[in-house]
Amino acid sequence: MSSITPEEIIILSEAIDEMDYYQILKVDRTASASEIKEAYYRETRIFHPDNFIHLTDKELKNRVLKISKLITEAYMILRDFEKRKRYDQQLSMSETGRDIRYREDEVKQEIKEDINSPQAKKLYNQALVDIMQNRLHDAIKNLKLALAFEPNSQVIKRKIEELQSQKN
Amino acid sequence: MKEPVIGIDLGTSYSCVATVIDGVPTVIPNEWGERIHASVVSFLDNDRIIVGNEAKKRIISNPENTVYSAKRLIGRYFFSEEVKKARAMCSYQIVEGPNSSVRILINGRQYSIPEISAFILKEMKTIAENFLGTKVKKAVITVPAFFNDNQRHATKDAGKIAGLDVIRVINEPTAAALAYGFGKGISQKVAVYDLGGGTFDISILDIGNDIFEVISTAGDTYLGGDDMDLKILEHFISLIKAQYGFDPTQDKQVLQRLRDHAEKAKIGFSMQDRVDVYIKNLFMGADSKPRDFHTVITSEQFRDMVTPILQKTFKVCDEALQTGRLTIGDIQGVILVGGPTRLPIVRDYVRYYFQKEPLYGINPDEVVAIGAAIQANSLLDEKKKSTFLLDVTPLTLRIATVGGFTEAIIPRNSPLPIERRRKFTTSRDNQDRVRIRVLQGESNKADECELLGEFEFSGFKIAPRGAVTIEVSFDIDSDGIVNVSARDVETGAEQSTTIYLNAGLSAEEVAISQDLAEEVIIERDRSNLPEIKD
Repeated sequence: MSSITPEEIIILSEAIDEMDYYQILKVDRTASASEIKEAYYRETRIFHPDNFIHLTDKELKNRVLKISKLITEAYMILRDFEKRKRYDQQLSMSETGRDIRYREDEVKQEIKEDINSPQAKKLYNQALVDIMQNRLHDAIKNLKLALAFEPNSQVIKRKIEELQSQKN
Repeated sequence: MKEPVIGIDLGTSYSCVATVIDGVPTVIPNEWGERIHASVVSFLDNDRIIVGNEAKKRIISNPENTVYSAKRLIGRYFFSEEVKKARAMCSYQIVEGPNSSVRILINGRQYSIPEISAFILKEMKTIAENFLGTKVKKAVITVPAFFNDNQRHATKDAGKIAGLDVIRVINEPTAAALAYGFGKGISQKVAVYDLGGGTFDISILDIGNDIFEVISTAGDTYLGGDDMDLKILEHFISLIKAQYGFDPTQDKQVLQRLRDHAEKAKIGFSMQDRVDVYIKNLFMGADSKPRDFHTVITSEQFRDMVTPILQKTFKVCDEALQTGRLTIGDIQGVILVGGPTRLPIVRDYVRYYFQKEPLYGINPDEVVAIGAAIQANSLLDEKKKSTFLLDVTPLTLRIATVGGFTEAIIPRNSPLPIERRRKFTTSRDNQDRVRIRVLQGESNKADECELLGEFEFSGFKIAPRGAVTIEVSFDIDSDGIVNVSARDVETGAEQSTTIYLNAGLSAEEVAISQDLAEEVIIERDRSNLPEIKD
């Protein structure tokens, strides 16, 4: 087991932000699946947080954690044939080298929320609690009240329909 | 001397504590030489409790104040199926606490489940301290492979309340495999058949060099050695009714003694072909003279009693193989865990089912605690010569999307620690908050997954829809415990987070419970215990 000095941890934890997954695992872009697996085991054996359980410095511990998580991330992407293919394309397109982390989706997910009125929100939340506690009747009552404050909410309407079909 | 560290198997029915002494994993006995301890807490009053095998004797005689099988409730919401089932079966009072949590009501006082488990852990800690003659702080605690984040978290909280520093939470089957020295050689698939007192679990592990992957796990939380005891108890009751015309179920004390003897008889079949049962002065006859009870159980009778129970376990094994897309032929090793697997009849059936001689060289009651001790020791071993264990997430981490569906964020069996990030934008003008429901499970339908919690991120800047992007980070640490946080992509500012629904305890609650655990006295002087009354 090679021992890592605190200085090396600090340097790597800074530099790793600029490293792509191949550089993190210290493998060639042409590395085979088994080479990637081997590299992952080698690197994770060095940087797994369990090896630093004695560290008392919280900041240093967090740096180790950061490195360790990126090693896992690199492995998760490169071991998956489809993801690796997409990632390679992504790398070849980014000239500046900024796009070195796998992009999950091209489109960002919209935050789903169509209830604006605070009263409606409160009632809707109460209804969710009711549902979880199996008080369907109360849930529907609260949802209908919520709809009075927020007549255009699709979320509330759908929920009511869902519950009514469950009740029947 | 280096700091002591212990491994604790916190079981549904029994718990066990072990440590590594001079390189040898050793189970720590208590003052009475007992190596396993019933996971039972009996309240004498609110400040005085008994834990372990003495407490178990009071399940029937003092039912309202004796808590057993608390593990079935840990980290669960009050509205969950498992809690409903427990409420129907348990003799103590299970009530709803704040935030849909589960509480146990004893003498007008509510206890959280981590508090109850903490009493058991504190007893394990005390046993270790008495044996080692030194304070013990650090521990590894085991949990079932299927435990979700809430259950792992609550187990860790229990450790904290008991005054322990829980350095790792590891899977029970993984611990059992570590005890047998797996993980050092070639990759192989190993089945861990864990038949405990109250629960049955089967886990199939893919063990490579250092890495323990749980391919599949299945179980029945109401199937175990207790069912065998009940079968024998029923047999006793019908014999007594026929012989004396006396109904033992009418007398709690008699019933408790019969139950204890039924368990003893079962254990007897580990070593004998026939078991002689003799109970002196079991009850008073109509003539006010004490009556004894005597009977013999043959191995044929015993076989007939337990076969239906064992058949159920193999149905569960079928299920585990199926989900792992495996056949019996893929399994290269079988490990036995749990007291009842000491019974020759269980071994026979397991050998027959898996077509393989199961491993049972290590006491099946102790094998999990021993594995935990080995892992605890190697974690603290600065030279890192010993086993290195790489764990994986037991369940897929998901977020709820519209229409009752979910989306996977971190797939199961991802190596730990791991972090994934997702970007979200606002969907309406001036939206200042977002709520994200986090679940764990293998279904894309939300209601088929276990709800971990609901997080609300707020304090976004006032902007038109789509102009605010937040990045939500889902982080699972080496213990399999989930953290969710969010930051504004533009400013990098951490968003304030409110956890709306969470079965766990807050830091303040843990602190209060720690005080409670310090105040409550665990009565350990057995000569000093009040008599069992009805």
